[in-house]
Amino acid sequence: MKQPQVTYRGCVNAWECDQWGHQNVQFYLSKASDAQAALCAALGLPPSYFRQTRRAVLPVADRILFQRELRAGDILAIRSGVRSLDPAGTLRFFSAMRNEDTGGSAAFFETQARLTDLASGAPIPWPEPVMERAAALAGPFSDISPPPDITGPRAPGRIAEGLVLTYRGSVESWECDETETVPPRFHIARFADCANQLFRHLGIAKGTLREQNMGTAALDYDILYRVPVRVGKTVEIKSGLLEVREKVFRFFHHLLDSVSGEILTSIEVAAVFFDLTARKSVPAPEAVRANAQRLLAASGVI
Amino acid sequence: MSNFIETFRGRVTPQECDHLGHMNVQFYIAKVSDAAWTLMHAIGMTPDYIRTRRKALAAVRQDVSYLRELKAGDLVVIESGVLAAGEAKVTFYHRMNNVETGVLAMTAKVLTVNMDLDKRRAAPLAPEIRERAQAYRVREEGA
Repeated sequence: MKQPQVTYRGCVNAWECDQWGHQNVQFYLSKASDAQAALCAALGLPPSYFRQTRRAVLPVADRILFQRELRAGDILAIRSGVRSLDPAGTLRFFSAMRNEDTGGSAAFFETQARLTDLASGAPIPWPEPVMERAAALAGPFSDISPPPDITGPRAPGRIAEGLVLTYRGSVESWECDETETVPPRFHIARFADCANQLFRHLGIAKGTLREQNMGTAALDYDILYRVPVRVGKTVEIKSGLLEVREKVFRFFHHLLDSVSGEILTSIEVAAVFFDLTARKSVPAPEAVRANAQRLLAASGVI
Repeated sequence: MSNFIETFRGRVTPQECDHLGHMNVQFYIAKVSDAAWTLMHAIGMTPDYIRTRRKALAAVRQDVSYLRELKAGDLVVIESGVLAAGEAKVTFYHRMNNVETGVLAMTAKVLTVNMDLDKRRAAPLAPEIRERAQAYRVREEGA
């Protein structure tokens, strides 16, 4: 039986942890991007290939489950496996991040990516040897299932009038990778930042949460990378609420081109509030429930 | 059989590169630092041990050979082992290879001292840690 291969090995550093005392979400993503590069090399696309061809393997969709908190000092590995490389050009693979001390699953990534020409931004066919290598590496990995489908309302694919403007800025060179494209990590850094603005509209400011010994933690991301985001672009983020369950609440962000209004990247997030001492999820604060209906209506969800 | 174990696998980012067009020296050390946690884990100094026993190995001297430059996007792997383990000191050895070319890019010999994290000073190494370290004894490249 085929086994996933180690595509990242490292640790959690103190400077990767946020005010909630655990590894910030953006560093899960940066480590998964390292894993993706290692998997591409295993498929016959090493770093020199990308330098010579001005091509890149860019994610188009990523579903991420955050399974356990990670703390400074934890040691990690990511193991990845190819699900398929379809004739239309979509590479499907997974990456499982594990705490190597406890053996516990920390996060799971189910990713779709395409070989992309950087000049045109258009997907291009994979070289024949890569197709063959992918076929040889692809396994059923029947014991490693894709994440379950998302239930509940989904993010509307249009920009409703009432969405909350949670970010306005520009894409800087220091957040881009060697292809001058924003990698997943910095999308997440922006989205995580603007989530706090959405929470403010839900009646719960970050400072208030801390005073109540509460934090927030992401459980589930569903990301669509619609258009590669390149250096120099002016962007904004509009956010909305999807639903508030007893403990889990769901919301979404659209990253837009400020000039054209085109949606570049979208993310749906499921998250919980948690008690910072017990490290257990707790019901959403009353203020969130009180403001939820108004925001749900404004978000075009109800 | 080699006692080296894989302790780091990752990638060089553009943010780690300087105006000479290659990974700046500080990030070789950052990766060695990352690798050290996995080697510490192997010899019994686990994250839980460090948090509860309040002892860990701290680097006091490094002897680094930068053998090849690394560029943004390069994939690297570090394998590590132990050169010596004494009463309170352990000498780690790390070798970093470029995954694509297989070329040795860096070696680092790191002298560490067992540190009491509350008293902030050196402390004797627990005998079981010293003993486990023996299983990871390696020799330097070219030695």
